Amino acid sequence: MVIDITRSGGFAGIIRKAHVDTAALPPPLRSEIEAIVSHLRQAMPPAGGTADAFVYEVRIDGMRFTVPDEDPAWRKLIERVFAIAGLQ
Amino acid sequence: MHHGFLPPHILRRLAEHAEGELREHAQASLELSAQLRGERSVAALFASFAIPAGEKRRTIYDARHKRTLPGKLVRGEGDPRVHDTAVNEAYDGAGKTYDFYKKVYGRNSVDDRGMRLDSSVHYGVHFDNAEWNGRQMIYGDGDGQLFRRFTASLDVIGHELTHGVTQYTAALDYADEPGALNEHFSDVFGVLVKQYSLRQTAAKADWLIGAGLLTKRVHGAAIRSMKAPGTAYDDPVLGKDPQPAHMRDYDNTNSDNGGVHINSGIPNHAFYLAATLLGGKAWEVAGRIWYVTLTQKLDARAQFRDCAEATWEAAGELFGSGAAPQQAVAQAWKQVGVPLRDAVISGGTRLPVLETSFAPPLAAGEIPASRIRSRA
Repeated sequence: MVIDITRSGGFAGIIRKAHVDTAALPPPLRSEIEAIVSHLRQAMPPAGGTADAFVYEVRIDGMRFTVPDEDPAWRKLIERVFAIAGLQ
Repeated sequence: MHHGFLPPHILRRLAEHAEGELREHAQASLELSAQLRGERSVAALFASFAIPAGEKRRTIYDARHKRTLPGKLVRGEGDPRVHDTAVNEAYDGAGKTYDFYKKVYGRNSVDDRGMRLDSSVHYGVHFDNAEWNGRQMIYGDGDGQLFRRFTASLDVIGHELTHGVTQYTAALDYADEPGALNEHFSDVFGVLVKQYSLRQTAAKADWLIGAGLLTKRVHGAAIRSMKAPGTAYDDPVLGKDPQPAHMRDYDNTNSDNGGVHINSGIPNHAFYLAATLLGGKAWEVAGRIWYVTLTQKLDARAQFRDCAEATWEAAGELFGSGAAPQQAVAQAWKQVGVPLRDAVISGGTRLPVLETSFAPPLAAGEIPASRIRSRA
């Protein structure tokens, strides 16, 4: 599973990107990420409405989602992928 | 739905690209969004209780590094300072912003009805952001490596509260050109709150947004520059400030809700140009023109040109048709590549164009003035 995340927006409007191929991860980490993703497909990212909020574009195996910075399940994926990619 | 607005473009994308339940939810929300569209009082449903007119009421909460709002109440109106810089900065900044709007434009808080100004500080862990969520301000502490705490710049606080003012007035969509205008007005009044508090003239001001937010190790003065968009920072980690200063460099990106924090550089620079052409204190003439434009002349889908023409109209009404402010506004917008239509400048939008029998002969390739006017 290939995950690409681009963060844009926020007060500063600075772009941040992370790329993770779960095939290259140690098995426990790979299972963790794939478990989070399996939940996402049933989760509803809430509607935004926040000025200056971060916006995330998440691509999972080419499927694109635009995600606001508010849903805990999506945020968990974003935080883990950013951490694995060595970003904050 | 726990916010004042829904950004339909996000839902639309989800409805198009997502699967199963996610897709259905997105479609359902889109329908709800459509029902709510244009209903400006939606935000007011969430507003705080009625408060006597003309009162400044601030409440500061400590989110204690969680992402649950508002957090623990730590300072209310009139309470003494506390041993927490972020709390005091949020309190003082909200106060200065309230005073600016009240004294300069006669506006009583973000809703003009004395709405209580709530702020939560220490939001999240190393959170690199400040936000307005439709009801309150939210400030992160920054990561400490690149960003400092977001209460450190008064213009950031003015920026966030102005999102509230916009929500209750023009209610500009937070995407594409209307979104860039939404950001623009927040930068304009954010920077004016700072200039007003320093009693600074347009010539003396630095016109920077978020000066003091970046740590010393970042190569940059601020987050944005209205004087010279695109030059606020240039850093190996953060990259280069992407803001354009002219319409020819408009960024048609999909990210950042269509580049709302990027393309705001264009109208931002127009405001800077108008204010410096006029000289003196920017909040007195240029600021008043922009305030009337935001609060009386724009709707949610306004484009850059609508904004340009609205400022022209406001300048004429406030300071006289053809007077210096109106001329400065026209020149400023022209310089950023958003010229006013000839019909607007001539004021003859409703009049038929008169064909004269003694029109001067045209040079090759020249378009008759009457043609330009009738086309516009």
